[in-house]
Amino acid sequence: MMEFSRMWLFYAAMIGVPILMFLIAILSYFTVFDPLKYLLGILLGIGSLIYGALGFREVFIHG
Amino acid sequence: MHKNLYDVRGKTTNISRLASFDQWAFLHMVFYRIAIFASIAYGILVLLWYAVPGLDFEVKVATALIWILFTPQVFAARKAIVMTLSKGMAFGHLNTEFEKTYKAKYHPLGGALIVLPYIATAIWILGFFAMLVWWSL
Repeated sequence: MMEFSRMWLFYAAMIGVPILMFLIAILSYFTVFDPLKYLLGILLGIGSLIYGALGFREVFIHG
Repeated sequence: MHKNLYDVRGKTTNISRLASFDQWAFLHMVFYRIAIFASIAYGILVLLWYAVPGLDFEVKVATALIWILFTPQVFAARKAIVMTLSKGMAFGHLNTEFEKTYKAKYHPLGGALIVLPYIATAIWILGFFAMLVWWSL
């Protein structure tokens, strides 16, 4: 059984932002998804801030 | 926990030390360090789009730049997952005799998962072109 590792949470956060970008890019083709895209954009903005903060912590603080 | 100033490769602040023996890691590191600050700026710009009208073009340009900066990280994150799932069979630098025994006993699929990060990155790159044409918030 795989042991739980905090690294999984870190990579899950890092993966989430590109996935959101990709989703919004694809959904942009279909106007019916505009309300969903609007919400995903908020998640993208917040996620990008978290991505940068986590990265800063990883590289410049904890090493 | 504080950051060590020196390790076996020398001074940890010397960001060019990877370039001599692991060019992919150096490239990834440079893109990642730029992406850290670019991502924060991008997040602010995206959230600003909701408050200030007329930022569509700026967000699209910033999205294109961030998309490029994220590309090595997209590959590296999927590589890490595949390495974990395959218990080191994929992308792991294992002793060949150990690898053969380990693969036979624990992981018959072996390193076949190695293709997944390349496929994911190819889809990511194709998505870049879709984004250039279609993107809007």
